[in-house]
Amino acid sequence: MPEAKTANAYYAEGLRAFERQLQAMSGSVVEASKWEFGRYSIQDLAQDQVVFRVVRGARTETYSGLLKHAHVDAQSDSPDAFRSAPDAMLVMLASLIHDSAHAGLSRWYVEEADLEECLHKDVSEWAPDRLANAIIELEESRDWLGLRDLVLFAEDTAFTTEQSSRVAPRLLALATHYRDSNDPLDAPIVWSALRTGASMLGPDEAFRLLPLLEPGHPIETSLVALKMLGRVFEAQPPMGIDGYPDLEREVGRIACSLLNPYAIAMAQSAAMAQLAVYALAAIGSSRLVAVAQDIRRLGVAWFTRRTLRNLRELQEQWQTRLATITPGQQTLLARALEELRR
Amino acid sequence: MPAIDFSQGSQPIRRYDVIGQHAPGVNRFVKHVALSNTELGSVHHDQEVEVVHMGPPLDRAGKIKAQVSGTVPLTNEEIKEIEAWIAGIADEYKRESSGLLQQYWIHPPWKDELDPNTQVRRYRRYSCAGFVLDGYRQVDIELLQISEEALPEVNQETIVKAYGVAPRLFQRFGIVGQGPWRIVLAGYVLHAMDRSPQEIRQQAYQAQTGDEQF
Repeated sequence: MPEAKTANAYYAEGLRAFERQLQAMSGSVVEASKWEFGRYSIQDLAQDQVVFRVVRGARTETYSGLLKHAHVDAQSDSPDAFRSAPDAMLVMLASLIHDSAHAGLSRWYVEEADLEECLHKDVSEWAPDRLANAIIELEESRDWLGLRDLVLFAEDTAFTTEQSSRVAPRLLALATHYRDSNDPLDAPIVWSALRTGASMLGPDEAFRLLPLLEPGHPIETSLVALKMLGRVFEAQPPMGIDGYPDLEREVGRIACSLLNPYAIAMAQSAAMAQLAVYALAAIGSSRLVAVAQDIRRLGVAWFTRRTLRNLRELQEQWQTRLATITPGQQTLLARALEELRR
Repeated sequence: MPAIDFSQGSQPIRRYDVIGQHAPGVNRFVKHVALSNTELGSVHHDQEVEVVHMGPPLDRAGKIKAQVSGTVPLTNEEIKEIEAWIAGIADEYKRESSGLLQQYWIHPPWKDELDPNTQVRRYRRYSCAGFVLDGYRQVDIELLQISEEALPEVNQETIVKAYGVAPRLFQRFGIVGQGPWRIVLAGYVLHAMDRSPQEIRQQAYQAQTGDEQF
């Protein structure tokens, strides 16, 4: 029995198949596919034109039968929803490929229909304020598919400080909620929401990332949360040592649990351990020196070298950004580097 | 030599070797480079190999047809370091649903996206060559001199051939002004690797005019 697919999985799968076939047919003409709000498109970048576009819940005269089938599935609340949709999509795409061969890869559009008015508009044309409001106001229970789109666009949007203060909690709440999703296609959305939400935080708001450090969810957020914690303090260094005890305790616990030869033999755990050490250094935790000693005692040369490299990178980041680093912070980092070099 | 063309005969590849592809129908013009994600005893021309690369999108489970390759070679420890680096940016892979273009950048070969207010880094954009170069930087191997003054001038036609992007879209990927431009091309990476292992490790290669072909 095939696994039930989400609407996004169904369109993404169909689109990838279409893209592969189109590339096989046209050589290197199709360079990339571009996703726009509520619609997928494939662009011929060399010609600067859209060669194919499909909109969720779409139907046309030509392909109405197939799309009606797909559309019914897309609207269904049944747990069987979308099981047959990929086939319908692929048949539709095959027809388009056949026709496009005759048409010399000219424009193809499948007209949009049946989405709420607010979801029709290409979000790339939205003002940041409208995007911020939509992210906050759309109900995730009704509009998760639309909201997913907005989350991804938010990462490439320059919000004002005021807009960020409204959007960041929402993005982090979405990441917290949807990390329990069993749909693997939600993973990039959760991570994007976490990256963007975290990037809007000041050091005094970084505690909001604590729940996202918790391991064991279907979509793992602890690695991204650790990375973003380090980056928050890398951009805005603390004014002193040990100023964020809750964060330091949690990050220190992660570092300690991973600094053993069994854990760091796996790339994922090694990466997490590195990010934890980086975060401790950026936060200004005095635990850093003891952690550096632990790393040296581990005796894994590549891991020690990588830690050294990362901490030097933090120094460089602070120099490049002309950040104000307290003497205590400088001494702490220097002592950690010295321990690692021994 | 450490860099080879598979049309000259089968060769082994190691993990994180550079794998390149020529542009179809253009003599030896290197259009794409990636990091091998596998180790194989013998690879023939056009054999599909697993790679991690900036397609776009950034993809850690990609497959491309191998046509040229370059090796340092790396030590096992260096391989572990690169592996940990790749795992550390794993969340930035497969953002295809947000638009391949958002993840792609041509000049300079990588660029950090920052929050405009806090200046906190969100993610890094890459060109295919940029991703490979950044991978080797993780183990202190600077393959190529990437400062503008160190790069040869290339014209609009070469950039379109290399990146498949219409001139009207250049600015969107960091290529500004009238040109000619000094930007990193995929072929330069292969020439950087076509040196002795000691030289590769000791000195970043300075690309020459014509190095877009290999």
